[in-house]
Amino acid sequence: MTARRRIWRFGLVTLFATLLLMPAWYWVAADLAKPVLSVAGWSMTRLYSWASGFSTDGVIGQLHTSLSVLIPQPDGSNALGFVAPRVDYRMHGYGMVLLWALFLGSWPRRIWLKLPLATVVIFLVEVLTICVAWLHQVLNLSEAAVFIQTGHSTLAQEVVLFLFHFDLYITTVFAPILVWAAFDWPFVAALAPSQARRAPAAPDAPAS
Amino acid sequence: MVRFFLIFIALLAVLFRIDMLDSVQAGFVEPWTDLLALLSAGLIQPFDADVHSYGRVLQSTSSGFGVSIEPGCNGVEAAIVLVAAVLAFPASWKAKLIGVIAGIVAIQAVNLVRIISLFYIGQWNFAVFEFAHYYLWQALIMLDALVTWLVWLHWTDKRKARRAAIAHDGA
Repeated sequence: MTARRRIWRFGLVTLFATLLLMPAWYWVAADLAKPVLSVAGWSMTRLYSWASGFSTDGVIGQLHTSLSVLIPQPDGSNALGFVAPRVDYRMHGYGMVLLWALFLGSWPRRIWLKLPLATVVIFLVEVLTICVAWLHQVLNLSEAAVFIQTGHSTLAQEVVLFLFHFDLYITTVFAPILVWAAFDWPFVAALAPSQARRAPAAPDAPAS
Repeated sequence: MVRFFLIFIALLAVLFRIDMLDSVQAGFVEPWTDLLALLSAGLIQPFDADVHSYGRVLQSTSSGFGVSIEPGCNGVEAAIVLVAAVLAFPASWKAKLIGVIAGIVAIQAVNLVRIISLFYIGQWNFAVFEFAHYYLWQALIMLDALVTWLVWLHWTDKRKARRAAIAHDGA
């Protein structure tokens, strides 16, 4: 098969796989959300003393914190509340569909080993982006009094702001491509044979 | 492979940080987004005269439904990924320039299809609009960037091999 034909076949199979798998993923998103949100919530409670727990409701994950906030009441008094940021798993999880579609498109050797490993990597990326989204709501979207209670520096605030936007626009949808390329580099290298000859030999040949 | 990935990630982070600067947003991204709305309206109007654009909004005068093209929907982030991948790969500067220009055109062409399709999907069914907007089209635009990069990768490698053969024959 020529390289050009290989690219088009890969593009078309990946496109159709994405179109088929995305609605299926959306349909079962609430079930897929539970483990991701649970690991993210557990991680936050281990990493931050102010994170007291978490709860899940379908695709929504809520972090419970001990960070207090005064809520103005209609009678002019203030009620004490606690910051509880929420994230929607789907905004961080749809990259898994692209990962699976890319693997179906290139069908690497030992796919049955590589695909589960790549799935675990993207699972961890989803956990990380959800943690960053919770942190963003606590450090950047809550009032200044909440930020002071966390004890974080303004540098941490800036880093989280950057990471949140990077995750939102790039990581979620691009991490699957990066992970796929790392697991199936021979497919990419086969499209640029002269570059591949310059580099050390690839560990295995392309499947097609 | 490792060198390519490291340069690529570094370029991606730098370009995205530049994209986040207020001056870049105001001076380039916002006018570009307005232009996308204008182009979308221009493409639709021969078939649907009810559509017009103002600023970054594309709106139907008959139904009142409109879509506002926001960050993440203007194709700039996908273009940044492609530009970083093209620049990180070892190739001549001429080949990189061609890759950057052709890649941006390929991404923005598909992005116009995204905007126009979402405009009509939104008028038909808002739940489907949200699904297509937040998840499906995000993945498809990045797939477009990947396939464009693979085509460029193959083209630049063939070009290099052809030049090497000519040089070999001439020697």
